[in-house]
Amino acid sequence: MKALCWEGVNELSVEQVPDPPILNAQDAILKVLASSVCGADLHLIDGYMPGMRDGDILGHEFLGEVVEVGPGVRGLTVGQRVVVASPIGCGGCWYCQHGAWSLCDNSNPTVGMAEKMWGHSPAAVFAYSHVLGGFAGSHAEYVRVPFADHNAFRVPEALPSDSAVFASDSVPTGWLAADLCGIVGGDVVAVWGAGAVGQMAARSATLMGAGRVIVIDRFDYRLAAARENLGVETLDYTEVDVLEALNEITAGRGPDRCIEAVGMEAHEPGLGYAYDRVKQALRMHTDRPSAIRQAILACRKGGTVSMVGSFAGAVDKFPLGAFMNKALTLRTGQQPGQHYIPHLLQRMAAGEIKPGYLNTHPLPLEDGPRGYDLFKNKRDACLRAVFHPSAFHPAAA
Amino acid sequence: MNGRTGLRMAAGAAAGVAVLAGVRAIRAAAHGPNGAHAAHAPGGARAAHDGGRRTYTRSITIYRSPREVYEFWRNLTTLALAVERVLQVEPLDDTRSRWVIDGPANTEIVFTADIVTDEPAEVLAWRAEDSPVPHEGRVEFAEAPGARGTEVRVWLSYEPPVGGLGAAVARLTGDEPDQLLREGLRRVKQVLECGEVIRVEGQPSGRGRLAERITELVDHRVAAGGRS
Repeated sequence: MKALCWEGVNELSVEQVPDPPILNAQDAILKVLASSVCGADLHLIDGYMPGMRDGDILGHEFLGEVVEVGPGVRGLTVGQRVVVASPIGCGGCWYCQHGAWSLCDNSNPTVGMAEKMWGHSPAAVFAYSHVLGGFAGSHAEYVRVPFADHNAFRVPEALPSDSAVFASDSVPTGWLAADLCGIVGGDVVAVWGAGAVGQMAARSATLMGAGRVIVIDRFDYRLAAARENLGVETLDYTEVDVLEALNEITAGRGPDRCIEAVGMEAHEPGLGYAYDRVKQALRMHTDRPSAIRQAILACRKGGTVSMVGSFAGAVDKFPLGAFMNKALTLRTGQQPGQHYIPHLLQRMAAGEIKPGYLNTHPLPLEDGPRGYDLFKNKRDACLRAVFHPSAFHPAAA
Repeated sequence: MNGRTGLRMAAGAAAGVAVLAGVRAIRAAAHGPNGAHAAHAPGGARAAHDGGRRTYTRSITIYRSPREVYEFWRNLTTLALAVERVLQVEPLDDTRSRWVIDGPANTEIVFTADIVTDEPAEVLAWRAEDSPVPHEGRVEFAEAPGARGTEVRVWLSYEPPVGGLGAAVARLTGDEPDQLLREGLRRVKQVLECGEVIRVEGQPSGRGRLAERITELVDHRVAAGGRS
């Protein structure tokens, strides 16, 4: 089959690779119908996340048609259209049993690196380096889904694949961001980052009863997309002083809930050589302020900061003083998609969440490298590029 | 095997514990590890060097009751789901069983395991004295606080054979006793909690055969987890 592979820092290519076999009894194989790029992929592509190997197949946000199931799969049958959560849950450990699927004890077969870096290993994530399992990704004609009964969800017929694909990661991550905030009626919520996750976090905050939602970014077209599709307010941080603007909007209080949906600008993957690379990259990005730092400074006293951007290592100059003296709560995590997706698909089917507009660039898989170029360099008003390795033919199913 | 025989077999299955820890250690030890192991033994495992004898302790929490975890250990059929490289195991009587393990370079390692302590849902201890690598071990099951399942603690002690070149190979491939012990514990946890041991070997990638083999070796090296 064809697959989009990482071939080294900033090198992507479409390669001919073997089809994925069933490796465990609870596996399913999907024919991939839609597979989205994600901002977190950029950390892999740029070499900020350790544990990538040449030839790794990328892609962790996807939807497909079941074409084969292992003997241990009970609830799925060939021909069904399913969307798959990006983190992989086993379904049986204490974490999965308590809804904390992204902390699964058992899905990561290569826990050693994560334990060295982070103390313990969270759940594996599709195509998110060998630190998180080294699972082959979905930018391919076929993909293997482990523990398929727990990780794949049937998509309501009315939902088109190009919209439903975002139930895999962007929508549940946005929902998590707002959920962690503990929003109560009338709260002012500020969201850093107008990428797909920030947009979905803003929508989720509105649905949870926020009084005002303000999205912060520097790309006009992304802010415009948020205003037009979500009816939220926006701030361009290259034009205004964000702290002043937020204080003005809230008459000096600061936003009650602050959501960071940007990801690692500053991080230390725990290895000396990688740290140097990061520092180098930081100098290249000095025009971008650290979103999490600003969120902490902006947040009202006693407020909540929720962080859903991806980080891998350590950050410098974390404002612990502001965090402590303002009595803030910081909550974070990878999305427990399995906990949210069934409910979110219902909301999507009901039209309460309409992520279809995020897919600005539907592309064939062969255009993978170009898709990432458009996405990474914010060309052609790209919010997301979504690849279509195969077409869906329900009649044939 | 039928129910009654199954119970009898299980009764002889302290060797199961040996398989989990001791036997895998034996297999590794048969590579010929030398003293360097003990000298560099991971801090998380209290590894003692007592006149050449190696001792390891490792623990893991399994989200199942102590009774269930204990019974899993006592049942050859379920244990076989979690353990690799066992060629044959047969009960000799209520406490003894004979094990044949796939050794290095197509050899077979044969030994008898003898249960010396058996307190259901609490502790199992065994000894294997006729083994090429005489060893003894003990596994304790304790209810974890806060309804988290069972805290499993394994203690393993053995006399390594005279060291050799194999030690370096064993370390490179991850076949060293402490790693095997941690890996074995994770496998048992996985089979008990979610019914299978997740695999990634055999997945597609854009790598050539050699590069894929190297990737698998590196992945295996970091597979075990546990403090080290």
